[in-house]
Amino acid sequence: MNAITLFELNNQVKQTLKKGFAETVWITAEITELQQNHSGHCYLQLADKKEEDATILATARGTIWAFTFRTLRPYFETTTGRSLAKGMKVMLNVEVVFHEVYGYSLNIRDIDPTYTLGDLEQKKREILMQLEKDGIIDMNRELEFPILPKNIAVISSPTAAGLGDFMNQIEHNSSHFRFHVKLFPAIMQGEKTTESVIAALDRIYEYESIFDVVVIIRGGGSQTDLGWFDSYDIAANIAQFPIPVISGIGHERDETIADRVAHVRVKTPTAAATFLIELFAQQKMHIESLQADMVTGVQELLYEQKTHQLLLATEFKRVVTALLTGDDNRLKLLSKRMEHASTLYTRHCLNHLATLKGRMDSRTTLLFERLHNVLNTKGGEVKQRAARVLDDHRRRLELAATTVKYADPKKVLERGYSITRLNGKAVKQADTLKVGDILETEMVAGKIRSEVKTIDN
Amino acid sequence: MDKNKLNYKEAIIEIEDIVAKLENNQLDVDDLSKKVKRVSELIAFCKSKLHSTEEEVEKMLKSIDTP
Repeated sequence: MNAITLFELNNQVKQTLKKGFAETVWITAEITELQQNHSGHCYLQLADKKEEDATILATARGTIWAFTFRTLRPYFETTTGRSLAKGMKVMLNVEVVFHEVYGYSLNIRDIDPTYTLGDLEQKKREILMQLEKDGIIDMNRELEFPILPKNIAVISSPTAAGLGDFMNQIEHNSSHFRFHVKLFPAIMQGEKTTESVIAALDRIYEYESIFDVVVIIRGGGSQTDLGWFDSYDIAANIAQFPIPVISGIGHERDETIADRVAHVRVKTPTAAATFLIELFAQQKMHIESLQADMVTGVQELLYEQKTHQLLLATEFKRVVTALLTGDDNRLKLLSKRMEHASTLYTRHCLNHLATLKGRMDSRTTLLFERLHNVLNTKGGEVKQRAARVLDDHRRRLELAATTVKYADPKKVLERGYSITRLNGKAVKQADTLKVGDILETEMVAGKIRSEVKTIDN
Repeated sequence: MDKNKLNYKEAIIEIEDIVAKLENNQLDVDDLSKKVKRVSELIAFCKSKLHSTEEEVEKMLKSIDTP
């Protein structure tokens, strides 16, 4: 049995492969490992996976020698906005190499970034579609943005130059606006980015009520390591965050998924600060314009009121004057009418008086005449009646004189009658006397006194 | 904090409301001096929100531990 050495075998394989793959080959693969050593060589682990379940169908080691990598890397990064990284799908121009000691590997000679770009875009589209399907893609964007975002939570690497730019802007703005800024440190590059940013968001969430806005700042470092911000997890966390997020992680041309779901996307940390300061400036202008409107409004209102008052006063004066003029006229009219009326009245009264006087006069005359007549008539009657009364009285006096003449007791006494008196009173009945009474009897000539001896009834 | 956040917005809304009423001639002259006073207070408050920091908030932020 003739045996060959392993070296001989490997050497034959090497030669066969060299013949079989004389030309370089374009392949597509996914980077599963990536490492750059100190001398600038880049070692990769490549794999081909089944689309459906990611079953590994093939693997190979790859190498990009330093002198190639120096040109390939910037080319790739400027085109894709990404640096070569684990999980990335790449299209590579490879030389199949077999080394007796190290075995099979691919010497990477060239790279087609557009393939990666396409793949990245495809992946991003898929993630975006997933976010949309989950109904969260616009959640952060739909939050009401605070009109005055004063309390700011910043997620950044504490050493990032971008953070310095942001803080400098915020703290030394020309309008002297004041903000409250709190930094929540996070790793913003490499594999741990997603996890670290999510942890920072969770921390901020604990103080949700304090903060008005979250600013995610990345900057100063590599502008190409943005792939981490295209992950579903980071995007989902930002999208569902209850405080509006401003992303300042973007690339000049590229928009990451984190940018897409954030409320506001700005290109640089400085731009994030400017955006916030601008909001303050708008509020300042708004307040000043309100103040000016207020002043103007008050002045106008007062002026209007003054004018109105003046107008009222003028109107009032006019109305009053008109009223007064009107009254004056009426008064004049009235007084004229009064004058006229009183003249008439006076005349009327005078007439009336004259009439009355006339009537009085005639009546008085009449009365006098009548009285005169009456007096005349009555006078005769009185005279006659008086004469008659006088006659009557004379006759009666004559009769009385006669009667008296015959009634005089002297005459009676002359005819033999006497008057017996007891104590000056004529005695007419015997029983009024008692025995022993002294009686005085008057006769025509002389008086006698006698004592009662007996009484006969 | 909620209260303060709300306050700036509320203050602005109140100012806007008063100014709008003023401009639409819906403000009573009898109320004017009261409203002017109110608006200047609110404006001073809003301006202070723009230009000054609040000790209370600063303290609160300092008390947050960050890794």
